[in-house]
Amino acid sequence: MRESVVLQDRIATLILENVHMEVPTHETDLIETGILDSFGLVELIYQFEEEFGVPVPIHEIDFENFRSVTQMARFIEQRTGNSHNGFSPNGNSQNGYFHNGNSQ
Amino acid sequence: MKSSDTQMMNDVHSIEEIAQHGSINAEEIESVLRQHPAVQEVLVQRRKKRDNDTWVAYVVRNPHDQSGRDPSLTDQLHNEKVTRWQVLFDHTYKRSADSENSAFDTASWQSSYTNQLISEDEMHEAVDDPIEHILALQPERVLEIGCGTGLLLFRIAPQCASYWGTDISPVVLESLQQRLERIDPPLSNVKLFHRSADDFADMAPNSIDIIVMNSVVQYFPSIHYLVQVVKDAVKRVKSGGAIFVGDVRSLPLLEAFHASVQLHHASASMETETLRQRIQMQIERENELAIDPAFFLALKQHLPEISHVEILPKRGRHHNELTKFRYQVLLHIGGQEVDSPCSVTKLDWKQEELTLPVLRRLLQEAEPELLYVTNVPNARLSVEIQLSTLLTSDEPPATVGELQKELDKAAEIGVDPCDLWALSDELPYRVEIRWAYHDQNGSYDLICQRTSSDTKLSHTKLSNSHFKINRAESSPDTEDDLGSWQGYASNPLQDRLNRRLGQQLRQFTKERLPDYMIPSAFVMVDVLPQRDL
Repeated sequence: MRESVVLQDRIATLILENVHMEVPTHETDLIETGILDSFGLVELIYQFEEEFGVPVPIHEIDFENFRSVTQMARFIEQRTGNSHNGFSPNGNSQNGYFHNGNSQ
Repeated sequence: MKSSDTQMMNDVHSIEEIAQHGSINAEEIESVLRQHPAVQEVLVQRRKKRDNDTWVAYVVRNPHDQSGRDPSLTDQLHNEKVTRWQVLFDHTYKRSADSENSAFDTASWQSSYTNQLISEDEMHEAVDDPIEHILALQPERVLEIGCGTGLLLFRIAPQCASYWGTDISPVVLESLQQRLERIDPPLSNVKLFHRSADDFADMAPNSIDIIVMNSVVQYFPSIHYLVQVVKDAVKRVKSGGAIFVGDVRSLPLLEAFHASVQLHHASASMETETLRQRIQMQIERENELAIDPAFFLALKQHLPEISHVEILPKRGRHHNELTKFRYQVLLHIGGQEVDSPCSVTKLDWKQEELTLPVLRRLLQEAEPELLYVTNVPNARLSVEIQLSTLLTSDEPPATVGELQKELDKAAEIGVDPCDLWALSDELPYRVEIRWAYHDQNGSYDLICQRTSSDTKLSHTKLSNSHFKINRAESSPDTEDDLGSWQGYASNPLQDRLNRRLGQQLRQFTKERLPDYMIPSAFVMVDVLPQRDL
């Protein structure tokens, strides 16, 4: 469970950088509240690829079920297979969110 | 050890370190960031995230920093932006293609307020107006850039010899092609091309009567891209033809638009100050191209093929984001501007304190040949104007709920353009509303031209200079003078530039600071937030 929370925090951080707003909660509907629009969502999905090193085929995403941080985190976890190695930063990621990122 | 456990230890480690290093950290991080040439001002705040405190760096860009701005980067950013839109359109159209078969598919026309599709009634009104403008010019050959689901195509193509449609979304073109194959009688004069807006390959010079870009240019990656597209487009248009640019998002009304949308999303308990900040943030991170109408007048100075520019509000009874915050443009190519020989009566609506009944009486009794009224307040924007007044007042209502109450009891101000257009039904006047010089209030100019005296006059294109409008119109001196065009529009590439700078700053701090002091987020802002105490 711990990893889910860390992943959610990282998604929330990306959203903060993109839209300059802290998400109120990880369950907040980001579209409904006007925090993200559909272009913002596409942009974020591209960033997931960069940040988490997982391919995210947009045509497979149902935007209706991709509207909160928890929903996004669940999708990425499924993409990465299981939560063992999870979403550990890929080698070329430039993020410095979690210190040395050396979790392998 | 499992990765999660290691991660947790790292986090715990960092909390202790943060505690040890106490207050000095934020200032230390700031002083490092200030060394970067792209940083003008910076504020670092602690960001509480459960047990894992991190830092957020708010950065005001140095506007004079030119590092990392080379043409190849611009091309790359343009391409990225266009690709994102294509992906989004493919996604949107794929969902609609399976369910929708009619010739009126409004997929991708979503309300910014509800994210639901705009009602069919409103959409009919929204496309009727451009279609009328285009058909009035009786084109033989039409090129539509960004034809989408064919909302205009199905209505215009039957009236002309050839209709070429282009789009960046292969998904929408495929479904449009299928619809075309099913209709009876077939539209054999229609040809579809998958290409971007700036691709005019195989299109001969002086071969097209009208080039249409309806609700397309807001997705262009920059104003320079639009300049290039229009430059290439004018060469393809025959003398006497036109370029129709529809649904242009207004730059002067961008703030009113975001204020209106954010007010819709805000809860009654939200503080007005928070609402104000959200509006500001939305303006800063606008990812579509919003354009000052003065741009199109400047373009005329720049491209001699353009003989006359018309900038018009959309017709329609509905007050929605399409009629309130967007305008349409007709760039006439070649031919002569004809100035009417008759005398012009000029009035300023506000100075004269005109009203609709007074105007009607004036036309009936004084019977001016040509009446030109400036500064007509726009009833479509009544709420937004009052919202703006409240938000900028010295003592605005404390919460959104109170703000809404004030707005609800305020009387409508201004005149609905529809009431003015309707004057031509009852009086011998041709009524035209121009929107070339609108500002943050969205006021418009009104032209009433008497039709009974000389019917030939009713088709005269009256140039802006005819009214001796003393408003400066200038265009950049050279083609490479890109900075000057930029002043006419929002910069949709700003988000990409911000993101690149964020990545650079992260790397920059990584090389100079220990890991626990590297901000988790870099937020680019125009104005720094208040420091939390």
